[in-house]
Amino acid sequence: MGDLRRKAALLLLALVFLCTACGNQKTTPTPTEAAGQELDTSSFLVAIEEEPDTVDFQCTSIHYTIATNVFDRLVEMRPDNDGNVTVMPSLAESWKKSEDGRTYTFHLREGVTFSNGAELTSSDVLYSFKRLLTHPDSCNQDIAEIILGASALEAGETDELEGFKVLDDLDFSITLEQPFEAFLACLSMPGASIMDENTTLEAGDLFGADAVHTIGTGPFVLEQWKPGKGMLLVANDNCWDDAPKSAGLDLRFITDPEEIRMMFENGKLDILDLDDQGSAAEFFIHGDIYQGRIQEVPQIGISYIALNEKVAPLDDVRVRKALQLSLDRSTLLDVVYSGRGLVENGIFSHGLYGFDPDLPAIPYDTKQAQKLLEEAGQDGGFDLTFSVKSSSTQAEMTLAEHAVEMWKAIGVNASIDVVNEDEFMSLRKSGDLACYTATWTADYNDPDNYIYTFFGSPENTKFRSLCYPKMDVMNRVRDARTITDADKRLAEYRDLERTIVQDDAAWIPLFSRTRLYVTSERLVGFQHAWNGSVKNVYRTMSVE
Amino acid sequence: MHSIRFKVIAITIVEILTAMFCVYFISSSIIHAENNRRSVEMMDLLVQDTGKSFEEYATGIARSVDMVANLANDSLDSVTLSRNGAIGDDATTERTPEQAAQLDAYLADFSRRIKTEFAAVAEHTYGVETYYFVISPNIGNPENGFYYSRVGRTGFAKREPFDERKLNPDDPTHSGWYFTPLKRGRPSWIGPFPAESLNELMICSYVVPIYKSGTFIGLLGMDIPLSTIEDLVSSIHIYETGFACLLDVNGNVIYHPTQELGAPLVAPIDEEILQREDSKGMLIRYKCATGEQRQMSFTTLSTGMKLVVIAPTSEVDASVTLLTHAILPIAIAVVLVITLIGFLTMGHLTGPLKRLTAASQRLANADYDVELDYKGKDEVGALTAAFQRMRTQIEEDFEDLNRRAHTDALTGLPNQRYFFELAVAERDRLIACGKNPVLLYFNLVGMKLYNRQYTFAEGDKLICDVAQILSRHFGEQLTSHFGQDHFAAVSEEEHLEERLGEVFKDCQQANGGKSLPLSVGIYQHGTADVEASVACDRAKFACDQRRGSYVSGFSYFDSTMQRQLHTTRYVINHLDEALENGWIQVYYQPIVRSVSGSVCDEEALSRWIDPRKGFLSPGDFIPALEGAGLIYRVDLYVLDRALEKMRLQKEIGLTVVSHSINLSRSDFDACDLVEEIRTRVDAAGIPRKMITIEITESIIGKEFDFIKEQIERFQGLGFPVWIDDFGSGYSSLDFLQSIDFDLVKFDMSFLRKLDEGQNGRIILTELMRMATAMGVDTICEGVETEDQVRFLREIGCSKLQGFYYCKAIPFDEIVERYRRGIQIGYENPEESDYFESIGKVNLHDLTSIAHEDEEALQNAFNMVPMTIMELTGRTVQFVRTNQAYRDFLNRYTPPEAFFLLHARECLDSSGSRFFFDEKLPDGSIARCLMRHIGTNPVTETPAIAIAILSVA
Repeated sequence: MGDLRRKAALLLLALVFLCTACGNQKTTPTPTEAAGQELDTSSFLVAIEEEPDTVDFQCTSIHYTIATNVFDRLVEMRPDNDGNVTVMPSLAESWKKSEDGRTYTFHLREGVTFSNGAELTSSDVLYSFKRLLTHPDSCNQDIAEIILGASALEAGETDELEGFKVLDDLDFSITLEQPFEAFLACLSMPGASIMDENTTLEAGDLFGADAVHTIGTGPFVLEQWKPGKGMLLVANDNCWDDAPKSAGLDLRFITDPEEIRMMFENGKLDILDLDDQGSAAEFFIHGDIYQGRIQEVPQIGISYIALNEKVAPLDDVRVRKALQLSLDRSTLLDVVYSGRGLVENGIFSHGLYGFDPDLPAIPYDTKQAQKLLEEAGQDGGFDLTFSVKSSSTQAEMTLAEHAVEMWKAIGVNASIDVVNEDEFMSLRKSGDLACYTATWTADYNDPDNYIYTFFGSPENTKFRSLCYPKMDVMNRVRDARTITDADKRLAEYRDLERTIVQDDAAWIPLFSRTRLYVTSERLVGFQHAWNGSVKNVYRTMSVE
Repeated sequence: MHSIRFKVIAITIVEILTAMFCVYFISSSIIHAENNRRSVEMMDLLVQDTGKSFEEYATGIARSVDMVANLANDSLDSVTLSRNGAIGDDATTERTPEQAAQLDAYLADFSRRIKTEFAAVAEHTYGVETYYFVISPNIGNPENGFYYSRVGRTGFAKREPFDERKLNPDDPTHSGWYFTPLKRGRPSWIGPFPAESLNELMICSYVVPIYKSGTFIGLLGMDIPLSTIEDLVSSIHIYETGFACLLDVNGNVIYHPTQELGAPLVAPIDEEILQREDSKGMLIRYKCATGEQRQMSFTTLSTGMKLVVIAPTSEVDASVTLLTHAILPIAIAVVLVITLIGFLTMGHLTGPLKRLTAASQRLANADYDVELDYKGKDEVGALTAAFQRMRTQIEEDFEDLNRRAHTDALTGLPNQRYFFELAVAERDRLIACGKNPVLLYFNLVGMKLYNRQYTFAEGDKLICDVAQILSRHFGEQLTSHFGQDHFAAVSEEEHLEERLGEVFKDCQQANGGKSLPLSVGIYQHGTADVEASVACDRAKFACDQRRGSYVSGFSYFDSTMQRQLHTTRYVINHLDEALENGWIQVYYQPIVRSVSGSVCDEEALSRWIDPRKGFLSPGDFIPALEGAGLIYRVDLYVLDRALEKMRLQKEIGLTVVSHSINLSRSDFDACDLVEEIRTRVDAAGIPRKMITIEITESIIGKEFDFIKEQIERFQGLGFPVWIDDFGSGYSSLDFLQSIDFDLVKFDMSFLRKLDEGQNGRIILTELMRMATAMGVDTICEGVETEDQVRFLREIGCSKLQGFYYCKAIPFDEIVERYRRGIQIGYENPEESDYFESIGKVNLHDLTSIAHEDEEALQNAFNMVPMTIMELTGRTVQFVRTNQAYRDFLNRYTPPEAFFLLHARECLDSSGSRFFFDEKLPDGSIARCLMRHIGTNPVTETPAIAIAILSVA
């Protein structure tokens, strides 16, 4: 009897279990894979980034997003109370320049730590500079080359950097070979970012290549680097200079403009750079949808056309002058950038320290141009190849087309040659491009950054395919760096600018641009860096 | 009472129903959730799928236009445009005619090129209704634009190009396609709207504005007919009546099978939900105007339209409803089937249980013939088997019990109770046959001794043999073993004695000749209607009369026995009455000190003086009460009366001597007799040594060790213990040797035989000597003559009792006799020890005063002249003398103070023995032994024993 009852109960139980088991099988959702490991990026700022081969700022000259957001430098370029962009303290809380202008004694900010908790000390700064000078792949060593003993270190003659003296944990001094007034400004460049000695030594080749080993003091921490997909930066809550406004930064490696546009239009991207959008940019500029969200950012930089004096008949200043005068740069700005920008007449663009407002304008004067050609014996016209690199934007292409058309108008047989990017670069660097257009954006707010780069030395002019021949002028450019008197130095630069651009017509200044960005509806705190870059000021932005 | 079958089935049904309900609710909720999920999934899928195909279609259109637009954009010559004032800082409508002409020429050419491309693209794009290029009037002549619309199936027909100036911005329905993209500054889907130029055909347009250097150049566009989309949407069906509809950007109906176009969708749904991109994964349900519950899914198409799929909830849930409804009949069916199965299986299970129950009831009614055939291996089977075993066991036990109840375990003969039944039946049978029935009672003589001699096992064998012999002679069913060595049988009177003779003869051979004589009592029934038990009593009584006979024999129950039996009954029945009414009285017989002639003890004896039957002999009532175990009441009564008497006697100033009381064997069974007596004696304030316990020899013989222990207890408490009737039994000397009695009371048979010859005297003399040697005091009872007294004094019997002195008399009479001065005086109890010392000396035996091994006696002879004398001042009084001493006095006539001197010496010397020589008057020397044997504590008279050892 008891048996029966038990059996019946068991049977029932079994039935119930079977039913619930079946039910479970159907209703239990399959667990999402590794959901717990994914970061919640819903409150992250989303931006587009070109995937770098390395984020080691000492070994790249273009990919500085990580350098500027994850790392800090001794000083930063920021507007002062008067709105003038100047050198401001960052990791270095204060400094003192010696009488002779050669020795700078820095005092580091106390209590700064890297995101792994290591404290920032003078030796980290020393290490950063030594590495900058000695790293085989370094491409920014010019920042530190002015330091006493840098060349000896670079040449491997010594392991020490003579001009760098560690005084104590927070104090150190840097002595330069010779006075260099732009030295502090130079130190604000991304390549001069400060790294943690121990972490970087431990990381070896992984520094800049692996998220875990890329440790800085900046507002963000590089959390993940998903090759081909993007990078995730999370807010460094322990940052000495206040945590960033957003919880993190979601950088996507996307290059297809259309895809980028779709992302933005679908609300999946927070900043859209219209430079990349070609004719589609018009769809954001016009109409009423994006009005109010278009950010106009004046870029401290200059678009120019380089003329190679090595290439005849460009060696004749009259020819170069004719080419200068025959360009209607205002129309070029209108046609290419719908007039968003300012026509430049020198080297130092609007906004740059040392910009000369009194510089005489280069007129659009085709008659004078033709006359000059006649004088130079080129009134019968000559062939001129305008090289355009394959990766150029439509704007650059349009610019070239129009320039060529304008030159044709004075009888120059100009033509556009689209060159593969690599070839273009190698030709340029070897000083073999006759004519091309490019834009230089300020690295630091000093005229030196422009003039020395292009006309500081025969190597520099050759590197830019300018092949400027006047050594005396170039020496002056070099020597100007050491002029400790600011006014004198400024006067010298202005004089040099006139000599090179106006007298020698060594290059054709075009314009400085106003760049356009469209921000998403949820983005707040949009700002740009002093030089117009957006990428190094993510810390001020956040999404709602 | 509900049967197990009913209960189990009821429980099972309840359990099944409970389980069903649980399963029903759980599964229905699971099924519901699952169905909801699935329906949402399905509708989502449908809507997404349809959306996708629409999306492909729309994207195809958009891509075509985009492609042409990009082409147009790229091929627009900014240099020309800029040169002719269309773009750049010189852009103005105030162009020179030359510029305007050049621009128009350029645009016409441009338009042609674009048209070619567009036409090619439109040809290869599905569902294109129209395509067009509109030139902004600010740039050039709109006439240079183009507009083509589908004509039949063959191709596109050229139509008049659109001109912005001809469009009415205030009629957004018809001009929205132009101004909206312009306003938005970007490619847009417009519509659906009625196309003015196509006879109000409902179309959707994809329009791309073209800018060059920030200047609006014109529009490129394509139209598709709404009917194409409607076809797509209307072809959607889900469930029975589920359908799809299409909403525009504002949520107004574009296509709906029932609802009016242009109005908002009639569905009370949170607007926020409809604002979403799609309803993926959302369960959206609402009640529509008709009251019907509906479920919807939607997605937003790239044109901004919303594709909505709607289905009635009832249809969505139909399968669930079907399933859940199906559960009820399934449940009923299952319950029915289970009930049926349960009924059958339980029937199978309870059947044996029912049979078992019936069997149990029959068994309870003592019906042992129940047989169960269920052989299952389950619990019921086990129970049935156990029941069967139980039944068999009960049956066997019952038979055994029956047998035991009727038969004797040892012999197998009917037991007493059963025999009585059998005997009555036989008696009646015999009477009916005209014969005289008799009841026989058998007793083996000396069974106790036999057992002691041969062990109980042998005794049992003997009993079994005798039982066989008896059953052989009288029949198995007419013979009974009553227990121990008692048997009974019923028979006829005829030839009884001859048969008994044969029985006796057979019995001699019983147990291999180790047999015992058989004593038989016969009760002749005659026609007297007495019960079997009474008949047995009478036969036993007759048998008991043969007690003391040690040969086989029989005796008949006669009238004397009848009377005795009657007396016995009477005594037992009237004891209470007798005690209460004083019918039982205590008489006291004095015991006289032989040396002093005064009363030293009194024996308390019970007398039954019945008001109706007169004086009952103690020989009658005492055995009767002993047999009934009631004698203790009499004996304790006697004790109480004796104690009372002693108290009274003291009160009236008479000397109180010790009293002896008699105890029976059965007194010891009634209570802790020793303790009882001690309590009563102590309570009465009488010294324990004043109460003497008399125990007859016959009592001791029965349980020697027990009695010995009791005697020692009495003595330990200070009670003197006498052995009574010494010499009446067989083992008298045994007892004397083993038990340290204070006194031996010789049976009166000794004195009766005293005169029969010299042997009697010798025996008594030797016994007395023996007792004296053992240090035991002596009494002879039954003293009737002076000769007897003299003899007893001579042989040293210290106390005498008998009619010679006084018979037993009540206390009143004692007092009366004292008053009259005829009563023998009491001995002062303080003198008792003294007199005892004297009395113990046996004048016939030297050893009573000397040790046998003493050298001085070696030459002497036993029978010497001996005397005991008391010295009172200077006088000598002979207390006892023997015949030899009397002869010695006659022969030598010694002077009166013959031993006086030596007596003094003897008394003075601390040693008790004293040898001396004394000159006799004739000059001969007498060698004498003198011993101080005691001093009277009252008179302080010393007593000295003297023996004349030799005369020379």
